[in-house]
Amino acid sequence: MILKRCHIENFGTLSGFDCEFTPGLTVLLRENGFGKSTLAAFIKAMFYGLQKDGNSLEKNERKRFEPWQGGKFGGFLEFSANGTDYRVTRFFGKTAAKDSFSLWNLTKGSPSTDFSEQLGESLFHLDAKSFARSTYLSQFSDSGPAATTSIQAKLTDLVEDTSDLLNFDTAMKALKDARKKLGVSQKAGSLVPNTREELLALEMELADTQSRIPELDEICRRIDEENAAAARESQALSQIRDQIHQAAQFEKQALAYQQEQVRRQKVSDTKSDISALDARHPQGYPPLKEIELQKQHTLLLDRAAAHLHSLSRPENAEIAETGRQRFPNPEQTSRELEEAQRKCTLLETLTAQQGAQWLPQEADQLEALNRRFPNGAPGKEERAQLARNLRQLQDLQIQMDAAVLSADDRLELDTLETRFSRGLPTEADLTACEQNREALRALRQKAESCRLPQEEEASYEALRRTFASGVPSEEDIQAQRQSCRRIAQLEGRKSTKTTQVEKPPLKKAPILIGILLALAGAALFLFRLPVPGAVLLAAASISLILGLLPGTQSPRTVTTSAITQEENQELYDRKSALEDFLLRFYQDAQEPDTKLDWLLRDRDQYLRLREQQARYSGQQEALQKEILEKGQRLRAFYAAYFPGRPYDPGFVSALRQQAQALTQLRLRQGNLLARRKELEAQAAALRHQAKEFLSRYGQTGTDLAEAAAALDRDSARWEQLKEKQAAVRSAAAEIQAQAQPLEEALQALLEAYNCFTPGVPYAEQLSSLRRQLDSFRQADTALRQYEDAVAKDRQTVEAAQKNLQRFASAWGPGTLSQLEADTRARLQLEQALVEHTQDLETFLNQNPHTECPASDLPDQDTLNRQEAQLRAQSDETGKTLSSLREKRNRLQHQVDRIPALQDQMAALEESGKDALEKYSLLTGTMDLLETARENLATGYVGTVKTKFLTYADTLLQGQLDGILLDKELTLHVDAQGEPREVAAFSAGTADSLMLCMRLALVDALFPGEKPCLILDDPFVNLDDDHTKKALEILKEISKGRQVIYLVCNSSRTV
Amino acid sequence: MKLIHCADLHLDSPMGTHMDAAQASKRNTEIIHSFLRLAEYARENAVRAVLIAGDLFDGERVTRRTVEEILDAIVKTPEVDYLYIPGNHDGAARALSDRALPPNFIRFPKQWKTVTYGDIAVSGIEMCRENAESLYGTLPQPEGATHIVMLHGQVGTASGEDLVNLPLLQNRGIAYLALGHLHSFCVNRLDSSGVYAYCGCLEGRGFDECGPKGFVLLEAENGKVTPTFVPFACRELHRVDVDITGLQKNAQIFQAMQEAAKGISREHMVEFLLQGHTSLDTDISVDYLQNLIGDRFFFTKVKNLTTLALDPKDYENDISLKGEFIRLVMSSDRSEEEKARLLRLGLLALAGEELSL
Repeated sequence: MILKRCHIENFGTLSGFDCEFTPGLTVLLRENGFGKSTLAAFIKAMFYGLQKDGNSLEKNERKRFEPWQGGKFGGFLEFSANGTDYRVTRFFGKTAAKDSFSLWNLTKGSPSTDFSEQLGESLFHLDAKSFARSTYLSQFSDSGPAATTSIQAKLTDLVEDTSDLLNFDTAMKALKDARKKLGVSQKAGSLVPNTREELLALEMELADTQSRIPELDEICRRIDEENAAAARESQALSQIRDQIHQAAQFEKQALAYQQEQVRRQKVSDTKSDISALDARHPQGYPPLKEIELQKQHTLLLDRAAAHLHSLSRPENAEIAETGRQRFPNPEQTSRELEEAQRKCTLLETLTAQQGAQWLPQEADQLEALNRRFPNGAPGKEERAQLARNLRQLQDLQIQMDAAVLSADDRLELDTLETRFSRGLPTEADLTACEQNREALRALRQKAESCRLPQEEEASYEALRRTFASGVPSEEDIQAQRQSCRRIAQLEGRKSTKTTQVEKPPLKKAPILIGILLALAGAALFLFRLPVPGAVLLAAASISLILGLLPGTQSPRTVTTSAITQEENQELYDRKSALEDFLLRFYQDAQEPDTKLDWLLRDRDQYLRLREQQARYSGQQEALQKEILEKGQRLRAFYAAYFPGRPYDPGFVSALRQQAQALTQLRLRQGNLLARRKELEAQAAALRHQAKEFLSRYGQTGTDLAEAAAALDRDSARWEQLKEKQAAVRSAAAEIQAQAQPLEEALQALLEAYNCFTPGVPYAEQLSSLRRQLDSFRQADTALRQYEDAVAKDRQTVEAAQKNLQRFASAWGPGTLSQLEADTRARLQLEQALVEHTQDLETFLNQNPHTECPASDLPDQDTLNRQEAQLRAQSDETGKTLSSLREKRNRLQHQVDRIPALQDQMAALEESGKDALEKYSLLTGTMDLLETARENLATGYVGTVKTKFLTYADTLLQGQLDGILLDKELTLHVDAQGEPREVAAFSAGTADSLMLCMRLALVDALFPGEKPCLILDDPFVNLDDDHTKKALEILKEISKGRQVIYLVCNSSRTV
Repeated sequence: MKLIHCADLHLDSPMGTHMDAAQASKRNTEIIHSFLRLAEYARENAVRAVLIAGDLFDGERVTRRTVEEILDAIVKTPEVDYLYIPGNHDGAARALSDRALPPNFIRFPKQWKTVTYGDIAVSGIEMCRENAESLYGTLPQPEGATHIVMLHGQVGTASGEDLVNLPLLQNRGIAYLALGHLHSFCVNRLDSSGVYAYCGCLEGRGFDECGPKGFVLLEAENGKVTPTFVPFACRELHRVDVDITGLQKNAQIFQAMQEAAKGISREHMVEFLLQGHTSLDTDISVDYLQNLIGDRFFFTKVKNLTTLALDPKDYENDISLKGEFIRLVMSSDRSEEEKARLLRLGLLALAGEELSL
């Protein structure tokens, strides 16, 4: 595989970069920072795309090589493989999904499908990481393990047949994942399934439950015992209850015997009672109905006697007896009274008519009016004239009231009189004020235009802040520019480094001491003192070794800068001065050249604006003074008319209007005063005329209208009364003719009953007569009722006494109640005798053979007590049983869980066993796979080691004592008797070792095919001698494969 | 006269099939209900007595609910007597403690007891350490009756707590020796006039109890007892060997399993034992096959007992990781079955395929 050409559109620092590669050695000599590593990364990216092992910039190539310039991210690479030329083009997006890939067959000039996007894997059978490790050799040594699984696969040459070694990591991960899922963990050196805790908990629960079994068994045993006891008690209870039953039978028989005797006694007793009663009544017993009738007679007799005793003669019996002579026919008297009453009413009506026509107060009123109007009242015409005069007077008064200014006008007049108390302003004063105001406006406009435009003012403000610390001179800025160029020059020199080799110096003092000690030792030997001589010689040896040892060490490569110490100091000073200078004006000192350009431009602009601003400021000052003067004059004029009020610029027109309004108001007020005087004269004449008329008829009040109304009223009343007096006098004679016969008839009736009294009104006398008639009627009725009641009671008493006498003669002596009681007792005894006889017969029928029994059983109480004791005992046993059963049930409930617990445990044990078996299987598989991989590794370590020694022999020329290489390709080099890591050696030696290692690795990896080798200045740490040898090796290698050598120093070019 | 001889119900015993909790619970209920069905069968077929020759319960595991169900079934069939001798698993003496035992439930004590039905006499004894030797000397000899004897133990020529000494029972006038202890039905001649029989368990519980299970129906007539085995289990357990030699894919193996289980009711329980030789290319996943066959029967279990047909010489020169791995496994001293599992697992992992454990 040969790289031919590449074009980098944008990739990290590289942009628009093209490069041709030769089939052998391609040397790219470029300065530091050119992007050699980026180029190598680009070549890898063309084959493998961009890799991402993490989010950091170091591990995420997409971030790391994002174009600095922006633009399209990627490019193309042309290469030859298997005799065909290809061009692979890749462009990268923000994510892998947005990457593009295309492959063209340049030989055919058409798109190719020979390889997929996994171009690198297909061509080199290596993953991206392995490719980088094997074919790309960077500037910085990496002595860590070099063998990724992919390299191992390649080394064992197995890739063409199987991919199993490539899948080793995947397989191990799958096995580990499967093992993790099993839920088995390592505890105290042994494997236990995660269900172990649950199992232990169940075991404990089961053990706890099983520990209840003995208690349960014991309780069951006790229950059985108690059951037996309960059975025994039950049997005893049954026996005692039988005895109780027998005793109850005995008691029943005894009771029946007693009951029979009682019944017989009752029959006998009843018969005796009947005989005794009959002996007291030899005439027998009256029927109860007859007794009841006699009892009613006795009752009637008692009631009538009591009623008769309670009757008394009425109190008004006298009235009745007298009235019977005065009113022999009360009905007729009543009719006569009604007729007399009618006549009396008619007479009263006539009298009332006569009295109602002319009242006494009317006569008094007429007499009083006649005294006021001796010549008669004023006529209607005179009164009408008075009313017209009064209305005219009222009209005049209204007109006088209207002849004044309105309240608003009066208020305005007062206000204006106050404002212009010092006199009205002249028109000349007002015109002068208006001119002043116009002049002021013009001055302000002029002052407004005297300033910088808004944008320039903003720029001026910004620049003023920039140059707050002072405006630099143009010479200062030019001087800083020169300094800036000098700094760039010095920095360029500083970045150029020179390399020189230094040999370590010998240590003279130990050598000198060693020689002296050796001489002293030799002298002691000469004097036959071998022991001290040997000691001194040994010390001399040590001292010499210490002195000579540094000389045996490898020369040291020293890298130095091309700048002198003084220049370095100058560089520092200049950078500091420049930074200080720029920071006076700007926030940072980056890009000083640009900043100095800005400073020159800003300085010019600032100076121009500052001059302009000063000019405007002078003009502004003069204008403001004039504005102030004119304003003060206007304000003084305003304050004279509007004291204490805020200044109103438009006050002149208002002042003019107010002066005109005051003049008009004064004129209107004068006119109204003249009119008012005229009306007052007319009103005084009319008032005098009316007063004189009214006083003539006795009306002297001040209120003319009221006096006129009173006069009018009195005059009308006088006329009315005069007319009525004439009419009454003509009607009185006619009424007197009708009343005369009525009075005569009434007097005749009253005299007939001896009750006429002259002078007393007829109605009153008739009413008295009627009351006398009514009293007579009431007394007469009461007297008649009393007489009837006495006669009736006397008849009742006589009849009852006769009946009682007849009953007593028929049934013998004795009270009625005693007789009734005996009769009823006799009947009840007869009834009781029948019942007792029947009860005895019934009882005898039911208990035919009653006799007094005899028994040897204890009495029933004793038996009941025994039964109660036994029952209590049985209850106690029942309680014990109940308690035991409760305990048993509780325990049984727990013990019943045993099957479920055992089943759960069995299931857990089974699953745990299964998990352990599977764990063991997976672990065994992993161990075997690991062992298999290690076995394979030993196959390629030898090849790499051989190749390494070949290169190391050329490059290091036998400096190596021996090497150790493990399956991870970690290199250890023997030095001073111990294997040491590569990092323990100097940088140059380490780089040499790693170069040899990489070359050996590439040889082992690709024994047949020849992929390119990209070297990114790997010899930077080698001394001249080793660099020379390395370059020779490089030339040799490039004969067989393409080598791209990136270098920054011409001293290390081929 | 009809009698039933049953034993070894082992009510509430654990399931030996690794069923899940729900299935085990259902199965236990089925076993209890089998006894209830048996009681109903006895009533309907005019069986005079049911002889329970031990191990009605299963040690300490008996629950109150089970005891209540059993006694309830006995109460509901008063026309049938239940003659019960406790077996070596009927350890939970409290199972029947404080119970109002129905009169038709007759428990035989540790001394001989005989129950007579016309000319049939049934004798039984609960065997224990104390009477293990002596019980043969005190065996009842009912005059003129057909004698049936109930015992629980393993038949042999020695005496013991759960050992039935057959020679000592020969020529003792026993027409039928009703035994319990072994879980499969078998009947053999005791002597010239009698036989002994194990009725087996009523329902199988593990795949070591495959085949038909039930009870023995005894017809006693004219001094002769005729035993007939009556399969009665509601489910049977089957162990099916499936030779998958030459089969490469799970689908083919599944087909073979279906063929092998043809004729087995869906209600039964089946254990498939995959036998024969497989190669490294054989795609065999026990979990997958278990899932495929799982819903075909009440309960299934698949076991892979195959061995790998692999010649180590074929991989002598294979320098691949796979070759090295195979060589390592084959040269190890592991069992053939374990080697097969290791190889299959390792190769599946290397091939990036799903791991089947």
